[in-house]
Amino acid sequence: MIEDKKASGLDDAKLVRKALRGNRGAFETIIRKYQQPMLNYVSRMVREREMALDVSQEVFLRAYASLSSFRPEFKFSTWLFRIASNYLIDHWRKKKIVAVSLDQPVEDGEEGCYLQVADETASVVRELERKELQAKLETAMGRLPDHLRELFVWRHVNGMSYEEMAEIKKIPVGTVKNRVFQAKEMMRALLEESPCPV
Amino acid sequence: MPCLTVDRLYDYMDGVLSAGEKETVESHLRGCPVCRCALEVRRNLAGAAESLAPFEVPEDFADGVMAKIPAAKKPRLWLIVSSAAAAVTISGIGLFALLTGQGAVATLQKIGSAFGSYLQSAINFAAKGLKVLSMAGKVILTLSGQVLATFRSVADMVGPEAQVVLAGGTLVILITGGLLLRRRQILSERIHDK
Repeated sequence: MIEDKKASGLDDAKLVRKALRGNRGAFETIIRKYQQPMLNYVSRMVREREMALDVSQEVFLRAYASLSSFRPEFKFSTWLFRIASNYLIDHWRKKKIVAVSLDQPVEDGEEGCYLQVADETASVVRELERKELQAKLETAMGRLPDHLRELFVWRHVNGMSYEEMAEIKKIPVGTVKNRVFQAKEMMRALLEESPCPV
Repeated sequence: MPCLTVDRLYDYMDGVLSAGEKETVESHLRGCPVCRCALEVRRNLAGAAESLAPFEVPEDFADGVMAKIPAAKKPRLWLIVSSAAAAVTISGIGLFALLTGQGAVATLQKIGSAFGSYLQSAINFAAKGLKVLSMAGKVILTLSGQVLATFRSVADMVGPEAQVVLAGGTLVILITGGLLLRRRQILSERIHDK
């Protein structure tokens, strides 16, 4: 997700220190740095543009309010995405949408949580198979259970490592890997790709 | 060799296999069209997911967030200035009382009569506090009587105006020293951050 991760981590810690001393520009820099990956993630979770903007804004406001709890020995992005993940869980809980715990096994044919998909003005360019597949991908992602979709988005949209995801969710790396594999297999099944020749 | 498991395929795609394991997988793939197809399908899926269109972030998104963050509180300069002013006032009254020989209570009562009964009540309370302090001061004076006698001798040699100038100058030196110490602390924090 971030090429020079070590340097970025030091920059983030420095920006946080400045923000805590009242430097508004420092926190604005943090927002501009993480707004794209945050919205890439949140938009795929809530599936509505305006809601994604509202949720992302709320996440940054919560991050600002709890900046003093950030420990610089950890990655800022991990801390920020944990706030976002927890906020989404609360968000769905308030909407009385069941959020499946990561500790529960995923059963075959599980309905999971289907969030309302916003009407899309499709602009699929059929001459490009990749774009057609991407459009199908977005729809299929919306049908994944929330806890699997989250990991799939983090892995393949945000480019997070298994270790980063494990740190965010406070679960073992092996569990994260298994869940990501499950998400990918479910996506493949939802896309109904042509079976391989026997 | 039996076909590859899905987990093995994904581990191969993630590049986490050892050299030996990788060679085993690739050897199998060379001879198994089913597994090659399975790998290709999953690679296409991963590739497509990684190149999904990014969310179009509005230009003013960051501005919108910042607008909801309350303005940072001003540095506590006002607290420092008001505290220094209070300290100067109280110290000046006390020093004036000591130098002129008038009681601290009498000095404060004169001020109180000028500013009304409310202020007089507050100042009377402060006077009582000063009385307690002056009692403590007398204890200190007893212990350092020689120093005070020398000071009074000097005070007798100069006029009342010079006494006020000397007292004011001492206070200015003390306050300047405090501000310089604070500035030094701020500069050392900035150097540490760099």
